[in-house]
Amino acid sequence: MRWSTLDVLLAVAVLAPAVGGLLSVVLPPRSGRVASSATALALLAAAVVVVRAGQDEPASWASGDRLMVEADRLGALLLAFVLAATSLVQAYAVRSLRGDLLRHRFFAASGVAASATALVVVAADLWVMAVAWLVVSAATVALLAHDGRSTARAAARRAAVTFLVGDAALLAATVAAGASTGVVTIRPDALEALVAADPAVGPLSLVGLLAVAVAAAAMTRSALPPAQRWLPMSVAAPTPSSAVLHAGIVNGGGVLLVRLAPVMAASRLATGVAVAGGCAGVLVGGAVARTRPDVKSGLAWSTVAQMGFMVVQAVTGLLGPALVHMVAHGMYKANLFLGSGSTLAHTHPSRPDTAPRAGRAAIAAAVTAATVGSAWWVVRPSSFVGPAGWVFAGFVAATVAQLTWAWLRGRPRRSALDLAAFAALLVAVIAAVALADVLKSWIAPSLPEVDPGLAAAGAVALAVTGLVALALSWSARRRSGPLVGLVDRAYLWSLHAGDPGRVAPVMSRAEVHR
Amino acid sequence: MTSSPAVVRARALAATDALPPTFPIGTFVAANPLHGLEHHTFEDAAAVAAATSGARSFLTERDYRELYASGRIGADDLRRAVRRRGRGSLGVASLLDGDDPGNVERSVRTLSEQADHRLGGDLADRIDAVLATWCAAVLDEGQADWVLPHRELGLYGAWRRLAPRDPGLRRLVGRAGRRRVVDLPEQAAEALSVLVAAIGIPEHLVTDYFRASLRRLPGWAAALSRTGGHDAVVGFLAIRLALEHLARPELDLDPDQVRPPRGTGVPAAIERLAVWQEALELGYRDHLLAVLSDPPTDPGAAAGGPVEATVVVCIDVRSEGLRRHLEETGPYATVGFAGFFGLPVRVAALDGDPVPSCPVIVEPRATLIEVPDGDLRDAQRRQDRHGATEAAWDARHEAKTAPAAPFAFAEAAGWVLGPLAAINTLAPRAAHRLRRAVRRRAEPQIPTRMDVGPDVGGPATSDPVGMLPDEQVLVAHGALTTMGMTSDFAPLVMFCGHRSATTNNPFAAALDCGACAGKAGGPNARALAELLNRPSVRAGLADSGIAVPETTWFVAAEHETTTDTVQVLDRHRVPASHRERLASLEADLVVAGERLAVERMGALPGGAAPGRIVSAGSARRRSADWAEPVPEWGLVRNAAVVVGPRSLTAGRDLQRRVFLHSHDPDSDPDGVALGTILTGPLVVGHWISSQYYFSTVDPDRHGAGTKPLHNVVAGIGVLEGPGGDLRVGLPLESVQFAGERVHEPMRLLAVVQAPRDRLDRLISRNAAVARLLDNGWVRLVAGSNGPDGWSERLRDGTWEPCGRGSDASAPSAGSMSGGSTGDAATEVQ
Repeated sequence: MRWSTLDVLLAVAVLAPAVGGLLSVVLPPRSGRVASSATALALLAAAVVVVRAGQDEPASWASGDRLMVEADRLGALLLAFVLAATSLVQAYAVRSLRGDLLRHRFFAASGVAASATALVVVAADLWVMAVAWLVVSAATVALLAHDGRSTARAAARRAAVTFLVGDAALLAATVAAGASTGVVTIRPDALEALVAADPAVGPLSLVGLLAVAVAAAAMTRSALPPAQRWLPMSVAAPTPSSAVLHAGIVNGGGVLLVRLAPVMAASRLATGVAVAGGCAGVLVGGAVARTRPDVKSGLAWSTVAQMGFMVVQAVTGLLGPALVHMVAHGMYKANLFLGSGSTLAHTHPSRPDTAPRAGRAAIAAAVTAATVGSAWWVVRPSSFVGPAGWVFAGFVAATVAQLTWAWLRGRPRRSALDLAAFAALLVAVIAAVALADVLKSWIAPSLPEVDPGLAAAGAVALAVTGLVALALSWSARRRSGPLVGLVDRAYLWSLHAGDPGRVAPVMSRAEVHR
Repeated sequence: MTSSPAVVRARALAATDALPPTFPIGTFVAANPLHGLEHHTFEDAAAVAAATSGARSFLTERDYRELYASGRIGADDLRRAVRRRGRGSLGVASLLDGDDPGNVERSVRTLSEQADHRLGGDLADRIDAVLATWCAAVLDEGQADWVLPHRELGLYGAWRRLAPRDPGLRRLVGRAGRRRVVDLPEQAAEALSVLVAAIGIPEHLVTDYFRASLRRLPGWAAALSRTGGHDAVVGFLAIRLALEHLARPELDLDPDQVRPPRGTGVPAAIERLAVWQEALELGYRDHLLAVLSDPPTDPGAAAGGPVEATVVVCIDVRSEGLRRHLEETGPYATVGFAGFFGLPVRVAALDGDPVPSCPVIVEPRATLIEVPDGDLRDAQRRQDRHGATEAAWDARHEAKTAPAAPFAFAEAAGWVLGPLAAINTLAPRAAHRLRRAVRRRAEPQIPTRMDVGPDVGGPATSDPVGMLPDEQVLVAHGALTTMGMTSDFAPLVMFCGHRSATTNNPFAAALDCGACAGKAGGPNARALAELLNRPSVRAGLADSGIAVPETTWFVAAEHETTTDTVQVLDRHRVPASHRERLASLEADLVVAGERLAVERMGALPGGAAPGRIVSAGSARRRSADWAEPVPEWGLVRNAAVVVGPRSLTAGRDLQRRVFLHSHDPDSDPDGVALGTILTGPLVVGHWISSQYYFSTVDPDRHGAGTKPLHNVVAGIGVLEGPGGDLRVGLPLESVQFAGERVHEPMRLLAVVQAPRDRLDRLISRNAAVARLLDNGWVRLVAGSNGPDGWSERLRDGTWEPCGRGSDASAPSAGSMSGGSTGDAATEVQ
């Protein structure tokens, strides 16, 4: 093939972070400036790739007739997102890790992880995706092992074992697919043809096998039960590593599921397993996060819940919503991790809730109804259509209601400021819904069509999970009644589920730096 | 034979001397981690600390040899140190070339540790992990949303109630073991007494066993002891012993391993290190005395004469730089005084609760509140907005954590937080301006003042706020006499407290004013200025012989040490007659601050990158940057306190290493003021110096670990990574950088310009000060530049002449120049 300028730019976007990261190891003073500049350069290249993808002229690489890599709208958008997140965190790390003699390890691992993740999101061939996927795993393990202290080693080991399960499945399925059908192109038409060619999808058919493997790989990467433990253990790594992990790497599971959605949709088994894992993630992650007295584990377990939510969307055909969630949550978590040193400023023992409840409930209900209603009326979002839309609207309503309820708790005397706050909330919700809608319609051409019945099932699963979580939390607050014993048990289980494990013996500084 | 619960309880309290004094990280206060061992000599304490926790109390022998090789420790210093501290065959040759005996190993072990030691395994670590989880849950000050059930019962009560359902306990001791918890007595002390008998701890070793148990998790145990008092410590011990007993290995307790070896003297390794340390400190002592007795390098700044204004600053080592640069700019006199300005008070900010704002060794006696000083409608509007801001933070927190809410919240908030993260990282100063603009809108600034209490003529009130009129005069009188300012008042007197300004830094309070219990010094400065400007107080002062001229005005200010900017406080209360004078002082403070900032930047990592212009602006960048691990160096390299008139130190560059307390020996013949200085500022200086010392020599056990791994926990401290003990002390980035030591660990050297017999008298009257000196925790040099010269007080109470012209110590040229080379090398690193 002939390489156009655009294709070269794509190559720069994909490869520069890894090259910069590895150069950081070689070039003294190993400050990471090379790595962060390389990633910023990659981001610039990616911006052009995004623009061209929007004009439906995607950058691509092919080997003969075989399409290997193609930056379609979805791929280009995620490419830019991954590079932006990594470049931001690397810029932060140039300063925050300045005193760390092993900082070059962070820059190398995060650079390679960024390149490999970039390749995953633009891969158009199953082999390319599988190999890139394995590289992401290795880079993540390296990122976690960082300075080799015992907690870091334990986290790296746990991640390695967990990834090994998912990655082995993905690799085996890739080999099997290659052997039986030759080339598997990960684009909607090709995958739908693949599914159509395998009419009796069962656990042992090619499509069934591939779907189960994809589910396993995605669940291990996105830290869903029963494979969630590695993610909270990663708190042993420096703050920038956590930011890279939670903003970018864990989303890999969602990307895989969205790309292979037609295959997933064909297998009830794989879909069922992923939905169960996702719902369990929402429940377990949420519960454990609420028991954590330390900021970073709290954030890590909350990621487990968020990934659960996103994966359920991704396997039930709510592909657009899943992608919006990935991107927005990534930015959200990156900020919270990088700023986790500010926790104290906003921590205070919860005040007794003395304000009268009846009036508050009425106001909260009215504000919620008005906000969600006007968001629907103003934006008329595609997101609010159908059963899935109703559930999405339900989650928006839950958030607005909680926000309003908590706000009113601190406002025993109301003033004009309350109206201003409600108006601001309304505008913010409309803006967020509109933004999500724009994004979803922009990437829609890259997304396959999925059976709406599946979406309804996913919506019901999420709705039920949300209600169970609410019920659990409600009974945890009431300290009386027949459920107390059960609630205590749930608390203790959650408390110890988040246990970091063995207390690491203090090791000498010399040992760390050796 | 079983100890009664009361006896066991008393032993548990006695054992808390093994714990470091700690404070919540939001009000970090420097303290000596070996405070409980100060009744021992420094070397004995080092031996006990090594045996009970394996902690180091000195640099390594290799470190000292490197200091020797670099010339920082002179050959002559070493010889003199050997003469002073050396025992037996220990000589210079052996120190330089002999075998390094290495660390003193931990020899004290609890039952679980004995089991691990003898049989292998990690029982003690697993017990600690379970206990640490429980401590964090019970101590949490609002970080977790799902609060530990039965938390009101305290650690032991809640644990005993919940233990039968605890899966963590099942993993440790099995289902059967877990069921036996119910058989334990309901009261922690009774349970502890039963468990002491069950484990078979001999009566005379119980306290030692408790010490060893507390030392397993000193951070959590100290936090429990601070917040929950004695019962919490008893509960901690009861749970730890219960876990050991229930998971009991097939092993009897070996009593010989329970207490540190006694009667064997200080281990040889510690003897050697003590000599090295002595040599390092002797070198600095002579260096400092030489600087003080040499003519000033800047005679202009040291010259006397009429002054435009007097600026009173904290004794903090960082103030030394500000004073030096300010005196260069114009006819100003500066005074060093403990930054709480002698006010033993709690302070409540406009929207806050009262918090102590005086050294932790002082008991607050009054509460001062900040009140609006202007249009009350503005104050109400501000109050409303402040309430709304709090409610908004609450709402944000709820949406982050409540079930079902965080999903849509993350989707919406991400679009704001992502770009904010980018601005914070790429343009920290712009982000800072943005934050400030938002804050000003959310909480508009209104003029306020400190309410110090009713005026003499005011109505009598039972309101406990402030001080009574008599107290006001007393406090003002005490402050003026202790700082030696009783006559010749300048027309403008500025009380300048200090604060730090850092972003995203859990250890922010460690950079604030230690004399104000880890907070900003501004409120105290404002209160003292307010007092001294009151006609009623001035009248009271005149009655006791201090005549403050009517033309003198007192003004409060705050030195922001991260950026070296000085902000005038309560500007609206300054009368028109003094505004011009204040403006010219402020202009000079800007110049002095910028020079100081540039001087400091050179020593900060990344501050003086080649090819980049060092400017005061980069200090402001550091202050605003959320990614910055070293926003400022704080009190690093602090080494000495000089108590004496400014003429002793003026015009000399003390490199921000010296606490300066003003004192005029001639006007204090009875030593009243000096006595206050020895028991107050000297002790605070010792605590700060010890905190830096121990965090440097053993960053793992006495320090808080490295910042990128810090994980704020329970609203009271940090973990290093996912779990383990609550970390105490200073972070690694406060004392060293990239593996290079920046702090030079030395015990506090006090240089006091005063007659020796006066000091002897004061020391004999004060047991606490005598203990620090006799046990070698603090080094004291007294005398003057006059014919008597300087002498060091040895541990036996005798005085040994030192400094220039003394026989005992003629510092070799090598030692002196070596000293300054070493300084320069570290300064530039």
